[in-house]
Amino acid sequence: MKKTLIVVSIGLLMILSACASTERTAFIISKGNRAYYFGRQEKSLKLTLCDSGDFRRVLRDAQIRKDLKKKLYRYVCTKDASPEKARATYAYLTPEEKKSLKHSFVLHGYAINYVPC
Amino acid sequence: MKKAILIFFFVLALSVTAHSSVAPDFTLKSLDGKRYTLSALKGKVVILNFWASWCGACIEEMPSLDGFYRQYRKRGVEVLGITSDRDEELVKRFLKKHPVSYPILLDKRGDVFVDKYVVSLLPMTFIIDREGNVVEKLIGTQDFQSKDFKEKIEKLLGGAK
Repeated sequence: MKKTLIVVSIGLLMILSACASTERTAFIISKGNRAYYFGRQEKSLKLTLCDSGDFRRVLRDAQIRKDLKKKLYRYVCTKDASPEKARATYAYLTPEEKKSLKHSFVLHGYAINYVPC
Repeated sequence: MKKAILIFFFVLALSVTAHSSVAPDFTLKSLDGKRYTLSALKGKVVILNFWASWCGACIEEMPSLDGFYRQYRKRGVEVLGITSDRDEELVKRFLKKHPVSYPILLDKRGDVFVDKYVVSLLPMTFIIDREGNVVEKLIGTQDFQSKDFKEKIEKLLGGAK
């Protein structure tokens, strides 16, 4: 048990130290008592965000360069969906574009970095 | 349970550290107008450093990367800094405050950042061997002047002085 605790502690320290020296590129979106990491591939997220047309509307109203909107949609909602590439596209955005994307999510009824109980 | 935890951290460590694969090729323009093609650098050890002017963790590691480049440039090591900034003038102004001697390349479309190297965290650094394989992906601020990093590079150079 002691050994397990040590292994877990070392692992957590490794993760925390890696997080401390990078820029954050993950955020949580929530709607209707459900929360998801942006870009993650989940059936219910696809339903909420993609199939409903929400993400198209969010992107339409966000101040982001057109080709990057296309990349975001492709890596979140199409058969090419990839959590890593969705996060990479988000990481590539300028701080202003990131802010605008989050703002647009809020405009369309999503909460940012809020996990409903 | 214990076994499962150990396996989890082993897999995590593997995914964060080493994996060897062919480095995706690209051609990008530097701030001074020169074109750099990765495949044309075969035979050299290449350090690809992905950064942005708004990324504090990236700025933190730039002096040590520059010091490393000055020390190793004549020994067959190339350092390429690839920025996600699209405004050339902004990058030029930034580099006046934080000067570096290695080439800074602009990836204005994001194809290298997103589609080829999938840079989801900044800073991110790829070490590419003389044959053009990615031998290591480093996430977060690094000390490029550290003994550990230099030993890795010496190994890839094969002891060539």
